[in-house]
Amino acid sequence: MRQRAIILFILAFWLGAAGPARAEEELVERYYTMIDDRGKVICRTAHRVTPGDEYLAADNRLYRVERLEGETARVRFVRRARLGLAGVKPAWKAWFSALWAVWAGKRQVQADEKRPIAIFHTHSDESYVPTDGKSSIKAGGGIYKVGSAMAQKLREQEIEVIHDKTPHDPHDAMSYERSRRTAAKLLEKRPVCLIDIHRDAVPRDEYAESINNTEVTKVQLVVGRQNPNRSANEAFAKQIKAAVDKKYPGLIKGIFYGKGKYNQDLAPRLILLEVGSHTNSREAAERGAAIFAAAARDVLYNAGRGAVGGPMRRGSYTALFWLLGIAAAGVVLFLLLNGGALSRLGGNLKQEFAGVGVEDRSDDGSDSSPDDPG
Amino acid sequence: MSLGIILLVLASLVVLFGLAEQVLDRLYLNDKQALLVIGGMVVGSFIDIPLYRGTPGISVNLGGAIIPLGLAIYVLARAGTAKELSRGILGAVLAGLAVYGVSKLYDFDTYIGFIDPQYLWGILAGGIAYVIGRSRRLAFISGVLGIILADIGHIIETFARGIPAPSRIGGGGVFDTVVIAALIGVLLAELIGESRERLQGGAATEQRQYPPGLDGPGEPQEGGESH
Repeated sequence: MRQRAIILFILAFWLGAAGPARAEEELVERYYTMIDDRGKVICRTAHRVTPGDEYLAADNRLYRVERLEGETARVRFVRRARLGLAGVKPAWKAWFSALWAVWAGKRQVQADEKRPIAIFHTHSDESYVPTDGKSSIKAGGGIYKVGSAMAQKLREQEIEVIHDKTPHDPHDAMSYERSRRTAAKLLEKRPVCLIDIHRDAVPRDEYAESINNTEVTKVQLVVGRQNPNRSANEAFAKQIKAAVDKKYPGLIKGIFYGKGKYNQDLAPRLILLEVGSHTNSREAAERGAAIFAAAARDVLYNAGRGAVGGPMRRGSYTALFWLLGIAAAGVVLFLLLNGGALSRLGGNLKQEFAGVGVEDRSDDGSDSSPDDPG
Repeated sequence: MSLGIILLVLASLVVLFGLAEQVLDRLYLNDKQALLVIGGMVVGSFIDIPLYRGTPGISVNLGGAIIPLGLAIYVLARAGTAKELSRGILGAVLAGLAVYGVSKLYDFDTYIGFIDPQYLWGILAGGIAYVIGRSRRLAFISGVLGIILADIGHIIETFARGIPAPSRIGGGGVFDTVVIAALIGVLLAELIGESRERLQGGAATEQRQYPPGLDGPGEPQEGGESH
């Protein structure tokens, strides 16, 4: 024991001491490029890409990462995704729905329910080199201004917005643990959805876009795969993409399904956005964020309610199915590992349903009741 | 809110509290006490106690840090021997150093990320606890204190480097990493312990030959069928 403890102590001490020295390095120009079997570049991202990750491109073609060759990810086309119901109901459907609700005495969704949209920034240092001068500014990155642009556009549309500017620096692997605390506090205010705004770290042209001859940046949505709420978050992301695609096709660069959960286990409607890259100008990113907010307004605000709630509900049921399935598998594993627990459980059930005592009870005595019915 | 989302949230809570109950069951608590602790953590999730109101601010959450910390101290205090106590403290310090250090080396979003950090901290705590003491209780202590010590490391770093980022220890309440890492740590220790026993054909007995460094049955230990 002593030897192992000494080795562990040396290792942990080295980690504790050497770790900080390595942290907070300036951004290195490294990113992954996804290429399909025809050699076409599908996406470039600074996110770590591993086999099994998926990418839903702007044209709704879903790709899966097959293998990695250095920083090149070979992807395979899987299928063309259907984004489901997007945006609001057509006017005639909305009119009939309202009429039906009044006639049936149903309570209409209250437009004045005043639930806010919450915006926060896990990586509060992220900045844009052409305008901010650096890719990372301690606890005050340009990303805050991009969040403000989105908040401002939503407020102009009479939506209450909570823009939380808590810094979560330094930019390390515990940033998400610190922003989790911010997200948990925001959840107490019952937001209709939470948006964690980031920026990517890839060459400029990956996100550069022009809308009405104005330079903007594209937006990428990120959904965590190691997340029990994945189906619900994915449905929300697809809803957003479908709504924005209707008004500004191509503004959404795609949906990246990466390893991790990005705190999305906290809420079915917590979405992570990458607005531009460090190589784009911050002003372009602010315009991209504002246009995104205007286009996604209905889905963001009415998420889970009324007409736009359909895919969200289906996504929630799928997530529920997975969660219960994983829990059931865990219980079975627990029973299998705890030798005899499965047979004891079987004995107890047999006794319950047969109404008679089971003679061959377990030997630990914990399950036997002194007043077993005969 | 749709029924699907309500059911999903409820199921998540049931699974989390079910796990918590199983874990507390291994920490000298009976069912009533476990329920009381879980209830206290849920209510306490809404209570933040400020420790420093300047910049960067420091606060500690009742449900996400103080109650789990109290429980960890209670488990340490119930340790039967000085050796058990010293292992508990050693495990906590090692977990704290490991979590803090790995958080600096593990570029989760970019170059390394194979698993979400929140899961990784629990795996570290459970692994360290198992190597040191093959103990579920030690895994709980390492999980709770490991994250809290890493948070204290963050506080020192923010003051030393002049970063105006607050430290809200356990601020996520019952969903905070302090709680999740402890749960994962205990479940991992349980999984390793039970799997190992199954592979070797039962719990350790007097006849069994113990490899050097592993404890024999003559001293207090947990795990196996006794727990």
